[in-house]
Amino acid sequence: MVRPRNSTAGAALPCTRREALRAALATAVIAGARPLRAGMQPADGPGRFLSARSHGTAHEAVLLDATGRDVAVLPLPDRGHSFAIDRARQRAVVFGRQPGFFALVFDLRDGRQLATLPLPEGRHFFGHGVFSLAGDRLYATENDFEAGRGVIGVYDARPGANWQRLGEFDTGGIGPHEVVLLPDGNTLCVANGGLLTHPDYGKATLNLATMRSSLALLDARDGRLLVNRTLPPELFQLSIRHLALDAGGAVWFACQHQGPASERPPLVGRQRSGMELELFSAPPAIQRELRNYIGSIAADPQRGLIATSSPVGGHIAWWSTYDARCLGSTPRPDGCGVASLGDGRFLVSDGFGGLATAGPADRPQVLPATTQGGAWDNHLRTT
Amino acid sequence: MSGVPAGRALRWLCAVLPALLLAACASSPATQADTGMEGLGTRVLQQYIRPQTAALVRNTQALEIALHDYCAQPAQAARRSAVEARFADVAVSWAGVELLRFGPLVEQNRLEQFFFWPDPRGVMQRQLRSLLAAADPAVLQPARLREQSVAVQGLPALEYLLHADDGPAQIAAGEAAGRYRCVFAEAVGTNLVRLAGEIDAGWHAPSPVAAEFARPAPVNDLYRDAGEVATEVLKALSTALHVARDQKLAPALGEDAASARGSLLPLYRSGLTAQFLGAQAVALERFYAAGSFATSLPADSAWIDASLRDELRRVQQDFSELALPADRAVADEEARNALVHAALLLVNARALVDEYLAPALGVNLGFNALDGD
Repeated sequence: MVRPRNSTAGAALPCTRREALRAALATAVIAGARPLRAGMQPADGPGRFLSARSHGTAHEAVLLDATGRDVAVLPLPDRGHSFAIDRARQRAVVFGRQPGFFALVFDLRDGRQLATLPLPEGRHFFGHGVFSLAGDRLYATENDFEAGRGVIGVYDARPGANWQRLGEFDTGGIGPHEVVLLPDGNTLCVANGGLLTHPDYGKATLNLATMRSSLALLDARDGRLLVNRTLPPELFQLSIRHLALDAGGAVWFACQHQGPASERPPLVGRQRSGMELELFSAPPAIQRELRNYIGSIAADPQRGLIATSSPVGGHIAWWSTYDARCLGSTPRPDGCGVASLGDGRFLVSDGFGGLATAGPADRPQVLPATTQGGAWDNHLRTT
Repeated sequence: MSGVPAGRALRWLCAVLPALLLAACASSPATQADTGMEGLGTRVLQQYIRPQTAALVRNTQALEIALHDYCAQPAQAARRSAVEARFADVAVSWAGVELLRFGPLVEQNRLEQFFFWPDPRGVMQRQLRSLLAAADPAVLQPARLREQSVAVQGLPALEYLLHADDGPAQIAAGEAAGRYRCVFAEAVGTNLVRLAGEIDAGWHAPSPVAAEFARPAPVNDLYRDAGEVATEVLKALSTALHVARDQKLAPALGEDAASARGSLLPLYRSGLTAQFLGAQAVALERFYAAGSFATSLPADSAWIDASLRDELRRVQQDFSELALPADRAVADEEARNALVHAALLLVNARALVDEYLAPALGVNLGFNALDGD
């Protein structure tokens, strides 16, 4: 197993870090997936999940089953964030956390690394991406950081195409965070978080006083900006960041408020086709539990459920997609990753390395710890 | 996350007794912190926050007067010197206030209005030059200036007006451009007085933030128990250490002397960088001391207190002993060592806060909560 040395520790500085990452990727391209540990059985079929995990300065992408057991582990050169999944071809891409300078393609069956996305100079990943329905294109949210412009990098995902970067689409905003593909297969929905950042300054927001978030729809074929909806002016510091689709194809979005804690804006919203953005608040006690910050959103489309996690507030809030009502909340300290188990419950990961199942009608059940000292990163994805 | 017996034990409890999870985990930081940290908010407010914001008010007022005198007779060297001295006082007191990234400082974008930085794309310079070229006196009315971009109304903008583009000579010459430049500087000075006053007022009655911070209670909106106050204070400490290293030092240091960029340092135009960064390390030590966390630490964690103070003092020493102005030091093989050293110490200090101090005090800063995305 090759584990590229992480360069964020000690004396390394951001400029070094970026170059060290490139160097690590160049010299350690095929980092092998860790084989299954003794006693682990490969659990084929549904019910597998992906998440990034950190152990101090060591980082990895983890394929796990619904009981929380590691199925395969892929070492990463730096902290990972989220994934694009191509179920048909059983492969996925893990993106580096923003400012991310790596994205690795790997085999969903065994975690074996297949390729590295060719990120051009002057761009970094924001941590999210999505495949086209046919799996022949990969779309990644990226930062054109010298221009302060959000773009979607378009990569050729056809077999043998070597992941060539075909070009990029303007997202119509700054800081595109998550992108999803609408059920029509032709429309990308992009959460332009509105936060101007530059990799020299990590994740520091450089335009807090003037930021403006939007939800943009782009034609996935040519990048044409179809619609770009912004939040009301008084909510200019509300950043739309994460997205989930319900059974009717509506996009649910989760926000993080960049303004003062004394303000309590709504954090959950919905965009239905052809309609303006709708925003929903939980009852005051639950709204407070969310602490102006939702780290992840996931849907159980069949049961009409949405899960929104707040690691800052240590709670998961549950919503109904039928009437947009908040159904309650469940405490989960530093809980952030959420993914549907398909039966009204969700798998929830936390920053202490813990996994639990929980739902609006189910008390949390903590899964036996499979790791010691690790920290699950923000997102859990169903494969 | 070694040295976290309380947190580990609690997580184990949650694992074996899921039924208790609701009550136990929801209140974990508070239960831990309540025992040793009652009165934390009052201590920090009285011993740190209010003295610092009061100093900022006094120093901005003195700067405003000095600017007024200077613009009346811009050729007088003594008046110019007075402005520079008062400017330095404001920078030092700002270092003490800047770390309070909660409450009044982050309301209405006061932090950005007072100190728009970092600015990697040169927004301040571009906008300021454009306003100087237009020379519209109406823009400098207090109500109008505060409506302008945050980039042109704070301390970095004032520094630019006083030091860049041959500013001193232009102002001393007393021609139209110099006069406008000086009146602009005066207007920014007045704006800083206004901002300092608002920040200070926000930490006094009848501000709800000040009251809740000093007296957390279940009926409050923001701070309901001592644990929430402790979390706010430790988060501010951690964030300030992160900003000090990752934003203020690291980008300018680059990977070596050849790739260093001194112009990325805060307040390099006025030559105040080292003084400013040193003042910030002093402020961090005082802020931490005001919390009296040492008295709440269990005996086996007492070392954290001494280590953290020691790291912050060594940072101060690095800045005070800098052989060259900081923007030149970063590009000098020998002199930059002190700054590289300070950057390392700041990393260590932050690790002490996040990985040892907070858990030892029962405060859960959280992997995802502290640095989400």
